[in-house]
Order: sequence, then C-alpha cells, then structure tokens
Amino acid sequence: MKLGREFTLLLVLVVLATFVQIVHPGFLSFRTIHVILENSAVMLLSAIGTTLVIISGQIDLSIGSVLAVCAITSAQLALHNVPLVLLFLWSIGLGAGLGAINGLVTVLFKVPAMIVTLAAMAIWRGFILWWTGGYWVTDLPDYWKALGSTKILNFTLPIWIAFSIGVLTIFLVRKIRFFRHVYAVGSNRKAAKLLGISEGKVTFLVLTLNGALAGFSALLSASRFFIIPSNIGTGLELSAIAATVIGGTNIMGGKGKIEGTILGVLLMTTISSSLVFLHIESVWDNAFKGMIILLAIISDVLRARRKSEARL
Amino acid sequence: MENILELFQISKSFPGVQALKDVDFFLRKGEVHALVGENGAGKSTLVKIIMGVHQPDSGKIVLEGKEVKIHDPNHARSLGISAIHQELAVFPDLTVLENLFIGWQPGKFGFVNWKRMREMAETKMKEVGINLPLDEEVGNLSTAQQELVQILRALLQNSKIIIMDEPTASLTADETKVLFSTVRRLKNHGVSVIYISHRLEEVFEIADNVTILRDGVKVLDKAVKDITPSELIENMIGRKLETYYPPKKAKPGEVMLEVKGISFDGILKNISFKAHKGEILGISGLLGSGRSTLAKIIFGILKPDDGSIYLEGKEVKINDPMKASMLGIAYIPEDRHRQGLILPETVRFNISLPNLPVIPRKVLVDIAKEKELSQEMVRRLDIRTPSVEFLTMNLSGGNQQKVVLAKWILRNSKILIMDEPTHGIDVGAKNAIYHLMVNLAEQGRTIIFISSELPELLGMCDRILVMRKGEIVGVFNRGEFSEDRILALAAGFAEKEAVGGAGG
Amino acid sequence: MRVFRKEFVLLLVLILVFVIMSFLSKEFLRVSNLLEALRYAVEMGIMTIPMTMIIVTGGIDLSVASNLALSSILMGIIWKYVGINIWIAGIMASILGAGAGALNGVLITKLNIPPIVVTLATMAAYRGIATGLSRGRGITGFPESFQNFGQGSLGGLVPYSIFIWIIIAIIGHIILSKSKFGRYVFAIGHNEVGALYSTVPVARVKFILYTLSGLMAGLSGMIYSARIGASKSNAFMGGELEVITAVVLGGTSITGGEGNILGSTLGVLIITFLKNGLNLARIPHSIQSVIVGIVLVIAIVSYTKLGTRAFKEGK
Repeated sequence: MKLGREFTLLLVLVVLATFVQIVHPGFLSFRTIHVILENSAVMLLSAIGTTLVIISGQIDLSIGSVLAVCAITSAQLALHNVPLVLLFLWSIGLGAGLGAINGLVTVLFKVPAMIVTLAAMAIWRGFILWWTGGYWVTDLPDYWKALGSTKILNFTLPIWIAFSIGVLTIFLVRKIRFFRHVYAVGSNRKAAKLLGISEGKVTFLVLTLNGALAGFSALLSASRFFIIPSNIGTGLELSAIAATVIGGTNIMGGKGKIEGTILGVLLMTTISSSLVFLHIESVWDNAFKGMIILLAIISDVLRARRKSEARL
Repeated sequence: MENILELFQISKSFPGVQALKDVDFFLRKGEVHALVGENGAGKSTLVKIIMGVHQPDSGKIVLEGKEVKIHDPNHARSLGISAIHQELAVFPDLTVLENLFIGWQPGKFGFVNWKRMREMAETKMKEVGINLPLDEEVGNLSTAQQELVQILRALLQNSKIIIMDEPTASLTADETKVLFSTVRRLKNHGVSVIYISHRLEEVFEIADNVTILRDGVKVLDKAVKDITPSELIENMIGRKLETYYPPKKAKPGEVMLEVKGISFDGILKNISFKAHKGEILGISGLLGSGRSTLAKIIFGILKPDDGSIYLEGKEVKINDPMKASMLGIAYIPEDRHRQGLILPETVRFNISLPNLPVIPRKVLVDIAKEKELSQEMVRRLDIRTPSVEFLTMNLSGGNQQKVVLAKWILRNSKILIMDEPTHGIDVGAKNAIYHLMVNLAEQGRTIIFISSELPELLGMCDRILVMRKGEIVGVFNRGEFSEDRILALAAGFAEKEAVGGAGG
Repeated sequence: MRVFRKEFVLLLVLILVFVIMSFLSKEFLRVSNLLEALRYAVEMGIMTIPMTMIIVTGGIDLSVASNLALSSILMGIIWKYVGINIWIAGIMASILGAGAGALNGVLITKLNIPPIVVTLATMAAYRGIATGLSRGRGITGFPESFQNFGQGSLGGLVPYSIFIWIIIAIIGHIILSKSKFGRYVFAIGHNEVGALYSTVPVARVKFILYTLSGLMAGLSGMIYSARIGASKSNAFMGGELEVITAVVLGGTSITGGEGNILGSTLGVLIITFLKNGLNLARIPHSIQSVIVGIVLVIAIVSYTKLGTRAFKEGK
C-alpha cells in the first residue's frame, strides 16, 4: 500500500512504452527517449513547484505567464550579450519576485491564491504580449543555445539540471523544516496555527518558490530554441497541475510526493510521444491527456471509497 | 504542595460581554483540577488566557512563584503550558512521529533530525507507558489515540501544565479508562492537569479539586472529596434542580417502527427491534457499537446490506434523508455543528430547510410563512435568540440544539432519533431538552434516545437496548434497570441477556 | 446587509468604467456601440448563470469553454455531414453539451472526485475531441437565417441574442434567490454534510447544476457559431477563466455559500464595457488583459475588506 501509487505509475509507463514499441519498433530508441526526457525536464521544475503549492492547500494559476515574462526578458537580455550566469539570476529572481507579489496579495488580503493567481495570469500574459508587441524574440546569440545543446554523456544539460534538482528536492522535502511546515499547513490549517506555524509565511514562501522555479524552467525551456514565441508557456499551469494530480498528490493539500510528480511528468510526455508514434494526429493530444487524468483520478477514488462514507 | 500556577483577580471583556470578572484560580503541582460551569460561564476564556491566546484586561498571573505575561501560545508552550484540544490539533496526513514534533523539530540550520526525533519519542513512550505506532498516519488512528498523540507531544515539550478540554467527548469507556490512568501517571511525574468537562461523573472520578465558574465569576473552589454532586450542580446553575428528569405519564402504545435483520459492512450484525408510539427507547453502548450507524441507516444516509424496515406494519425503503423525512423520521445528529446545522445561516433558514417541501408555496419560497412558522418554533421551544434572522453560529450550544429540534418538530415527525442530544450542553439547557423529549413522547411520538450517559438513559427511558460491537446484547424494561448490568453488557463482561425483550 | 454592499460597489465600478471609457472615446456612449458590445458578451453572460450557482456550492466548472467549442463543432458536423436542419442541429448539440455536463456531474457526485480535478480533465478532453473531430479546420457556410440570428438586431439596434441572455438571467436569478432549489444550493455551499442531514438532495442538485452548465455551454456554442459564422475548435480559448473572473468579480465567493446572479451579470458587464471602451481607444488586447486582471484584484481585495468589517460588526 505504501509503494502503491508510484509503483502503479511506473507500471503504466512501462506497459505503455512496451505497447508502443511492439506496434512501432523504434519507439524505445535513444532519440525518442531523449526527446521524452527533454520535454520532461522543461516541465519538471514547474510541476514540482506546483506540487508544493497544492500540498500547502493552494493553487497557482500564474506560472505559465510568469515563465513567459522570465523567458522573454531573459532572451532580450541575451540579445545584448548578458552572460549566462546573470541571465539565470535574472530569470529566477524575476520569477521569485512575481511569485512574491502573488504571495503578498494572498496573505495580506486573505484572498484565495487561486483568484490572485488567476488575475496575475491575465496581467503578466497581457503585459508580455504588449511588451513584445506580439513579435517573437529572434536571432539569439550562440551561447544561448549552448545551454540547451551541450551534452554530457549524450544527454543535454537541461535534462541533467532538471532531474538532479528534482531528485534533490525529494530529499530536501523530507529534511528541511520549512517543507514539513508546508505539509502541516496543508493538512490542518487550524492545528498549524495553534502550534505556532505561520500559515501566512508558509503560503508566501511557497508561492515565491513556485515563481522562482518557473523562472528557472523558463531558461531551461527557452534555451532549446533560437527563437522565443510570444505565447510561450501557455497552458503550463494546467499541465503542471495534471502531472501533480496524476502523481498522487491530494488536490485538497497535506499529502503528496515529489517522486509521484516526476513520474506524472514522465507519463504525460511519454503519452505525447506515443501518440506521435502511433500516428494519432496531434490534434488528439489534449483529448488523451484529459482521459488519462480522469483514469488516474477515478482509480484513486475507487481505492479510497470506504473512507469517505465514514466521514458522513 | 505549592501552587504551580496562580491567577489573581483576572478580568476580561469582549465587545458586549464581560467574560471574566475578578477570577482567582490556583493550581497545585501534580494535581488534577477540574474547571466546571455552564456554557458561557467563562471556562474557555480563562483557559485561553492561560494559554496565551487572550490577554487579561486586569489581574496577574504567577507561574512557579514568578509573575509572568503570557504573550502567545508559543510562549505558553515554552513556559511549560500545553493544551489538548477538542478539535483535535493533529495533522491527519502526517505520521505520529512527525505530529509529535511539528513546530519544534530538533535540528540545526532549518534541517530536521529524524533520528533524534525517533529516539526522543521512543524514550518518552517507554517512560510514560504510552504506546503509539510512530510511522502510522495520524488520520488512520482512533480519536483516543489522536488525543494520546497530543498528550505525548505535551510531555515531550516538558509541559508542567496540561489543559484538557472535554477530552473524553469522543472516547469509549475503555479508552477513557486508559486516558485516566495516563492522567494519573502524569500526576506521579509532577504534571498538573486542568480538566474541563461537562461529564460531572468524571470530575468525581479523576479530579482532586474543582473550581466552579458561573457568569464569569468564580463561585466556589473545593476539594472534590468535600463536595457532593448536587452541591456541585446547584452551584453551577445557581438554583436547585427539582425535577432533573421530568416524569412521563403516558405509556407506550402500538408498534411504530420495526427493524428486522439489519446488517451493514461488518459494523452491524442482524439488528432487530421494535419501537412504540409514545415510547422513549434508549440505546446504550460504547463508541463503536454501531448506534449512530444504525440511526443513519434508518434515516437514509446509509444503505444496509441486508434487512428491512417497517413503519406501522408496512415495509418501507428509505433511500435518502428526503424519503426518511417524508415518512416521518427525523434524526438529530451527534455532531451538531457539522451535521445538525448550517451555521453561517439564520435560524429561519435552518428551521425551514428540511421543511421546504411542505411549507405551502406557489413555486417560490413563501418567506412570510417561513418567518411565521420559525417564530412560532422559537416561542414554543424557548430558543434564546434576538430574532429568527440571527445567525445560528452565534447561538449557545443549548439554543443551537433547540434549533435542530425545531426543524423536526415543525415537520411533525413521528419518529425522532436523537443521537447524544445533550452532548456538550450545560445543565440548564439539558433539562429543557429532557422536558421537550417527554413532551414529544406524550404527544404519541416515538423517541429513540442514543446516549453514552447512562444516568440520563436510566432517568428518561421506558426501555433500554444495549448494543455491543454491532449486535443487540440486552434489553431492559423500566423496572429492571441496573447500571452495573447495563455497563457490564456494553463492555462485554456478561453473557447476552434474553433478547426476547427486544419486542417490548 | 452584506449582499447590498457588494452590488452597490459593482454598480459604482460600472458607472466609473462608463465615465472613463467615454472620455477615452467619443464613440463609446453611442447606443449602437453599447448594444453591439453586449452582443459579444452574450455567450459569456449565459455561461455565468450556472457557473455562479456551481461556485456557490463550492464547486467549479473549468470545462465550459471546451464544451462550447465541442458543441459548436458537433453542431457543424451534424448540419454539414448528416444534413440536418441547422436549428435542430443546434438544439441537438446543446443537448449533447448537456450530456457532457452530465458526465462531469456523474464523476463529481457518484465518484466524489473534486470538481476542479474532473473539469480540468474534461476541459482538456472536450477541447481535444473538438480539435480532433474538426481536424483543426473550421466549419462554415451556415444558412443566412441562422447567421442573421447571431449577427442581426431587432429594429437594427438590439441584437437578437441578447434577449436569450436576459431571459436566462432572470430565470436564473429567480431560481437562485427565491426558490427551494436555490436554498439547497446555498445550503450545500455552506455545509454539504449539514445540508444532507437536513434532507437536501445534495447529489441530485449538483448533478443538475453541472448538466445545466453543459446545456448553457452548448447553447452558447450555437450562439457563438451564429455570431461569427463558423464552428471552430479553438472557440473561446481561455473562456472558462473569463467566466470565472466575471463571477468572482461579481461578488460570488470562491469558497462557496455566497453569490448572486445580479452580481455576476454586473461582473460580465464591467468586463465587457471595459474591453469595448479600451478597444475603441485602440488600446491593444494585451493591455486589456492586464487591466481586467487589475480590476479583479482590486474588487476581490475590497470585498475581503468589506467582508471582514461586516463580520466583525455582526459578531
């Protein structure tokens, strides 16, 4: 029962991959696997940030827009040959700042984060659209793409970075007091308050962290290309929530594992690739994703059936 | 024995109400001190001041001989004062081990030292004799165990004063025994306990001293061995309580409800009994015996796996509460706040909610009629509320319970299942509820009275069913009542009594 | 008491919007402009009605825009490839939309899955199916009478579709604020368990609400296609969030138990006229988003401030 969720996800992943491989040999080639890992790397950090926000009992709908702002402004800085390290600092810092604004409004005015970030999503998306005038950022310098194309042991840098941070997070979440407070607040807000844990501080910090991770993801994802579309990041928040939910995190908060989210991300990217290989037109992408999410949730619920009856 | 905590002339007021006036309170080292009083007497305000949640307007607090100001709960904790809460302050998704240390985990630089936590927990558990599964999610534990988690947490933080507010509210008799022996062990370790409870028999069993509050003022404090139950009650309510349990004249009539062979999910096994018109049928049993589950089945919240229900001889299928209420069945639930009322809404809203299908209307709700009817109920049941537009969340517990009853009296329900109706209600309001119950029975209605307080069952019922682990193990008619035998059956010490009496 | 305050604030905001927009462009206050702006608001307006009730119960329906798109595509397919009369096709598609909503309802009530999760999934699924079925291409060429319904006006001034919105809004308002069903909705929003014990048919009410939401989405899809003369799978992208914004702006609490149709309608009007005025002032769409977002934040913050004060006084 303890292994339950992650094991199931791994199983589904393996079965799916095997199935596609049988129908279309060549699926499990290095190239495909690399594409899957790369797509996962791009989403991974944002998904982890989203997981933490959901565990704390909130929802952040703004990360797609935040990512866009960070990616585009960083790219524009790169046009002026700003060094890579500074670009990272800029992107993460900006993301953290935008996340902090979400946090401040949520905490100070006691408004559910879902609404605040709903507004933030519109505001930042609108801003960046106006800022770029709809134009895509082009002619980026070589060093920009270097981040996305440098390979270690045949895997590109973003994959290493994202997955290392992901694995590190699995351990940090257990060992760092702040993260334990995140779980506590999500599990029982009132009790947390009684025991002296500041819900406001936790909410503020977790939203800021989510922003910072979005900023980080921005560079990882944008650095793969020579051009940055002005609508980059659209729909990211919902994919992140989907991966989180598939990974077994409870949408009501208090419960969730980073391992699950990582597997959730992998599953979603594998599905996308599978659809391509099975010659199912990409137009059906979202339909499948939606149905997978439904299946994951339904199986969750059927398992927890009896418990809910007792709560009446 | 010296005093570990002394409160001198504590006063506290909130907008519109003087909660405490010049109250003195003295707690000795290693004693169990009960704090009693009706709802609104000021007990919880006093305790919140000790815990640092509120600051007193005047007066001083002396802890271990030194005057202190308790700024907030964290500060209180560092001073050695902890509390176990009614709304359990535990984290259901986290493990026992983690729950013990939340908010004060050992470890440097923001890191958590799990190894140290485990060592500390295991040592303390051995020391005090409390055993808990450290790696289990607290949400999977019983209420009793969850309370033990809170007690253990307090001990780990070296609390010298532990405040327990209605700790036995959701415990079985066995679990209460364990709690009491734990409390006695705490005394031996020099820990003092402030014990708040409405269950006066517990005061006499576990407490050394008792302080009585009434209307924000301290009325009496005495050693428990020097006070009698009636003296205690009279001081709490300020007057003599003549007829505590009102007498019932009418005798039960024909069979109103018959339950045959009801089984449910291992919780209920082959339950059969009859209830009559004009009868107050008590159901006794410990927590976990299945009484509430049985009530929920009769009310349509749950569906039985097996068995049938008959109303006035005809079989009925009760699919949901709407159907149950159409058939004349009412359920006054155990959890008043969560199940019994819609707290953020008005008295009128609550009283009319289950009655909407029957308040005469065209298509829309007839508000004038609604107002009229709910005002009538307020009058009839003597509900203390400024108006029917008052929010139920602002009423006292006793008045809230009356609103719950009003819903079903308006509905003219023929069968009323009352699940712990006097739970957490002060003595005066309890009495009012008892009178109402007798009134309803004398009108020919059927009352099924589920309670853990044996005295009130013995005082009020025509018959008592005893349930244990999902079965009916005994039936007693009024003449045969015996506290000891009922308790023994409920706890499983005696053989099943002849169940022939279940038909009455 | 507290209900009165919020609508008052909204009305003030609406008036403020009118005043500011009229300064930004002479065209704004023209009756013809205002009425035309309302034409564009009809779909959103219709969908806010069941959405308001759903949010009052503490739930949410993220699938409405996808449902709209799917219904619109289905209508197009039924008309074009099956050869059924466009009006009947529209009604059939609306019923299918109701079915899609009912699917949400079943998953939420029978399996007890949180609404946000279910509708998140169906949002992706329905949009995806719409895209798949239409192969990303639109369906056009609807009969004139149909397009006239969506693009024409009564007396050359009042768009036909507005009447549908008005009727639905009035019915919705009466149901929510004055009927037994409306009482049930509020009870569920405050305390679902307590409502059940007070004989409220919780599952049935919720199921009806989500089905109605689907029905309105389907109907809106029909109106949308009539208005732009085409069925497209990317219809109303991001529309669910616009609808929710209007409802929340209108004073409905996202945690449930509070809200009304009038407020939501004012919310729709505020957003519509704000965007219309900004359009006339040639302010780009991107900035419009920013402004709508800021208005939302300010509204929510002031509600909370008002709310806390009222709460303190009430105690």
